[in-house]
Amino acid sequence: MLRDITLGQYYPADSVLHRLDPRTKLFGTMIYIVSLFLCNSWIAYGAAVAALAILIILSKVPVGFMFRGLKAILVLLLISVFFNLFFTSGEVVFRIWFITVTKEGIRTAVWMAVRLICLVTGASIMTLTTTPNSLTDGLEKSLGFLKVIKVPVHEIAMMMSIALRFIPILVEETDKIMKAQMARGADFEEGGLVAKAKAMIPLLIPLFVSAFRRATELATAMEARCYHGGEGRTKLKPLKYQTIDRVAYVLIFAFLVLMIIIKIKVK
Amino acid sequence: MGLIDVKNLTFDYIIRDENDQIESSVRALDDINLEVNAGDFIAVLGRNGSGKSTFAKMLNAILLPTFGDVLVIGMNTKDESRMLDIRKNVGMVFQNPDNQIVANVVEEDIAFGPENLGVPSDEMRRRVDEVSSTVGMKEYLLKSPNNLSGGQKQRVAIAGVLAMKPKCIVLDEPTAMLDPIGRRDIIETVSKLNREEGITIIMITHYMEEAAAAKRVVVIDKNKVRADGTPREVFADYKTLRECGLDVPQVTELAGLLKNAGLPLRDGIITIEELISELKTRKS
Ligand SMILES: Nc1ncnc2c1ncn2[C@@H]1O[C@H](COP(=O)(O)OP(=O)(O)O)[C@@H](O)[C@H]1O
Ligand SMILES: [Mg+2]
Repeated sequence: MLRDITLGQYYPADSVLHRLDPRTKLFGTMIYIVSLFLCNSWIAYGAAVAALAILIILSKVPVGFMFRGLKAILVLLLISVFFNLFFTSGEVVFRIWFITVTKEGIRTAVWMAVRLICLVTGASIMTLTTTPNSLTDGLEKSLGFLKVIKVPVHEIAMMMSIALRFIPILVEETDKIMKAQMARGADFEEGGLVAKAKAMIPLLIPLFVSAFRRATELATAMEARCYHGGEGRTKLKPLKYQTIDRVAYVLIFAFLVLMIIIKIKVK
Repeated sequence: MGLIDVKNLTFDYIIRDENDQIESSVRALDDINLEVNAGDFIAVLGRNGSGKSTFAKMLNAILLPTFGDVLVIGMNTKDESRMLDIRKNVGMVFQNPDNQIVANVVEEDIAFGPENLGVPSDEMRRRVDEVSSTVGMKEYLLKSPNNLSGGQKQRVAIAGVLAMKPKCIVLDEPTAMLDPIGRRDIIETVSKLNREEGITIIMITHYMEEAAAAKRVVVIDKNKVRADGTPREVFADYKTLRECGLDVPQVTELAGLLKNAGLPLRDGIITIEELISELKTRKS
């Protein structure tokens, strides 16, 4: 059962967005996030929401999945709505006891909420339609220019990809050790924080020992297969832009231009 | 000159303290001489701690000799400029299937070696398809390695080595963590590679039955080579085997017991088939 856990939150489907090159999606997400921060009118927010709605429909990912990511930011969302709603000065709409709600307050609160929701959902669209592997590939390729300033882009991508491979294995191993310790009477549930932390020690030590052993063996195996860093490496499936990526780039730029025009023209 | 020449090979593990000062050293290999010929199928036997894994790692420049030399197709493993060439020609498969698979998709793992060697993508595609059908893993190319059995993972590891087009494959106890079916699969795959593709095989094992499938058996004990010959010759020398902490294959032992009990069997029976045919000829 634990073998089947997927990392990230990839949702397999056959859609236009799934077929896009990861670099296109990374770039598009970045532009979308930038454009969210350009929004300062109802029309601009309307355009951002409309774009998001179109992407959600194109992605063929069930809407429920889409908004799952929002749970993580629910508290942040509520706090930001709360402060904007009650602590913005301006034209008073109504007043209960000492709380005043202003017209500007309502507007800022709604905008803020829409911005946060669009931001998280927009990023989710990318992770839902891109496998962690191709996301890693995409990052390595699009951030390649950082090598100039000595950022070890290839190494970071390799580490991410190895982590993706070994996390399920280590999770399964944790489960095994936990069961073995429980069979000998260990208790991971009872007691306060200190007792629980203490109970974790016999779990963590064997896990660490095994993780280090695995790392050493993997390093030897990689060396034996001629691994010597990113230099001169080729790829079985090199990333290649297709026609849909070109179309997507045009649309992304068109969207950015539209958002800039709205910002300048609409007050 | 053989495919691999091992000359007066001695290796010490150096143990250092926190300040990088040499604390002590452990001798793991002591004056080993061995010539591996192209097309050989060698089984290396020896009890735990006898130096087998260390020996394997000397053959493709993962460890370098303290004294002596290892020559692979004439290239010295100490020559750093030839390192990739040596590793490409002498592939290694390790004991733990999980800890040698790098990628998250089977086909990408098989391609890992060629990727490091800078093989062009279309050539790489051809090799991946070819070697995956050689080891019988073609249907699994797009699967995650996490959902494979141990035997299947080892076959992926073998395919990953094959994709580099090596002359020789060194396998360090490849079946130790597998069930009987996985073990049989691996031995069959390895024998086929030797027979049909002419790839030189050096397989470390502690199963006598697996050693019987080889053309040549080398016994290592206490860091030295103690016996070297055909399986028949080596298994005939019970005394040396016992001294090295090894047993003869069960069927050889049975044949010996039957002979002692008065059945006139010939010497040097090492497989079940041989014993059966021998018993049949005695009956008629
Ligand atoms: N990394 C190491 N550091 C120090 N000593 C080692 C190391 N690896 C192996 N040894 C020692 O070298 C000897 C041979 O080990 P090894 O080659 O692993 O034997 P085998 O594979 O036959 O069990 C053993 O005595 C072992 O303790
Ligand atoms: Mg060993």
